[in-house]
Amino acid sequence: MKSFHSFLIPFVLAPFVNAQTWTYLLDQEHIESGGFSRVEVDAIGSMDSELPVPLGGSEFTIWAREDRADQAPVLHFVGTDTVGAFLPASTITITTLDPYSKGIPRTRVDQGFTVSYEVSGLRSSEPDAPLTARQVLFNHHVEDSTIVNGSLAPASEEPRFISQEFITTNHELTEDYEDSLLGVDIHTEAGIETFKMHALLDENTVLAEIASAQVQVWPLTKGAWTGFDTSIPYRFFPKISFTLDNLYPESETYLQYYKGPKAPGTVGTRIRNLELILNQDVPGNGVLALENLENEFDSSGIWTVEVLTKTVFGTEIVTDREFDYQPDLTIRGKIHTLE
Amino acid sequence: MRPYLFIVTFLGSLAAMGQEIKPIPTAQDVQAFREARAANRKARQMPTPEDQVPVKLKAKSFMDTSDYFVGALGFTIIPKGSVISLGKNFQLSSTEPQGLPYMKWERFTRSHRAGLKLLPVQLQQIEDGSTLGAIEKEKEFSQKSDITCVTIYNMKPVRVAEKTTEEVAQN
Repeated sequence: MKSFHSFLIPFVLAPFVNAQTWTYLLDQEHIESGGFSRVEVDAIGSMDSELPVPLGGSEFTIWAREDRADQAPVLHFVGTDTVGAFLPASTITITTLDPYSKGIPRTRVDQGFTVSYEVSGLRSSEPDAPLTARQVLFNHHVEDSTIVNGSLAPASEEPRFISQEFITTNHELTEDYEDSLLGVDIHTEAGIETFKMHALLDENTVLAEIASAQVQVWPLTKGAWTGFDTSIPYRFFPKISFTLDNLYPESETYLQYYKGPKAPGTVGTRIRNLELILNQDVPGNGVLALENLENEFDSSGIWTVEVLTKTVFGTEIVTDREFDYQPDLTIRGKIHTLE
Repeated sequence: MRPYLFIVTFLGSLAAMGQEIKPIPTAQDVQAFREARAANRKARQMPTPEDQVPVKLKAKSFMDTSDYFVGALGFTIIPKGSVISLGKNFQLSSTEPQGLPYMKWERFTRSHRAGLKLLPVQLQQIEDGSTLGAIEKEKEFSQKSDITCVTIYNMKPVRVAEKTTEEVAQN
């Protein structure tokens, strides 16, 4: 197989039989750069090209130089051939519902992403074309990570292999993907998915990367109440809090309440001055602390409080709680004395 | 109710309706979503390698990011985006290259009157090359880049050794 860097050029020169001295020259000229090399060669033989063959190709020319005593040397043209190194071209783009544009596109484990690629320059219909010109390799890897101080900490040094495909025709394709994280816990797992297109030297060897794209996948937020016991009716609203982990970047998280039992989708009353606004590129944590909320509830009965998070993916209920509010509750009892 | 109050109330209701509130997905929801998308993609069957083709992902190739260029002679680093015009009075409109130029800029421009082909390399490769003047580094440049950007050194041809399968896999 002819390699990318060198080219075996055969040459057979019919000797110019005469009393003169003949020298055979092989010129290699880089077509686009003008880089030039000239070497003396035997009349019959083969050799590696003196210079590597660049992407733009080389023109090989053989000359026979006639040296005669009675006149200046004369160059006789023998033959020429052009050889081009070849790489197909490709682009890969990844889009998500998150319009973030300051770095690697972002998405969330439940949202997926869309991969579009285009491959051009393949010469699949030419059986004599080298493998490099007939197919490319589409690779998918993922870097499983945990979130440490808002940054992705890869679980291992090497990305995890997901899939490989040979692409043998020039075409464009757009496909929806799910994340390829390990799927252990949607509230903590994160990572970077990488798609690359490679030109091949042979079936088992990558020659060059010709396109790549990445997407970062963040987890769903999750939280926990502290001090909220819904098994008893409340006469005074207790001091409670809700702790949230892995809030999605550039999100707004707040509480709302409404009268009655849980009814997802209800637009209730937002508790003012109690919100977490995350203006950063990576996930964050936070605490919503509630106290002195008695004035918010105007009647006794069952109420529902919800923690909502508003992201580019919509407004979602992180958690909800029903509770029985009884401000007029009185404690009845008797005092007995023993004599 | 006065008409304008009705309109305000109606618009307020519309705004509330537009802000759909939904439960955050559960683990089961996410798993179902993943399986559905994977199933959709299975409809498209592309040939896959029998054995995994080794691909090193850490090192970016020159196709990934090319911040600078190396001239045909491989001696001068030219900022990406240089404006080059060829003609009778050859001119090269560019800033003085940063980094470690191998050749005087004036000399470079004089030696490229016939044409100029710029091949991209990574900035990282340039930064790594503390001994850019060494011919071995020149070869390494080419090998890392998978391109034959360096062909002549001090006007003598440089033969770039053909890479072995192992070297290619490592790169």
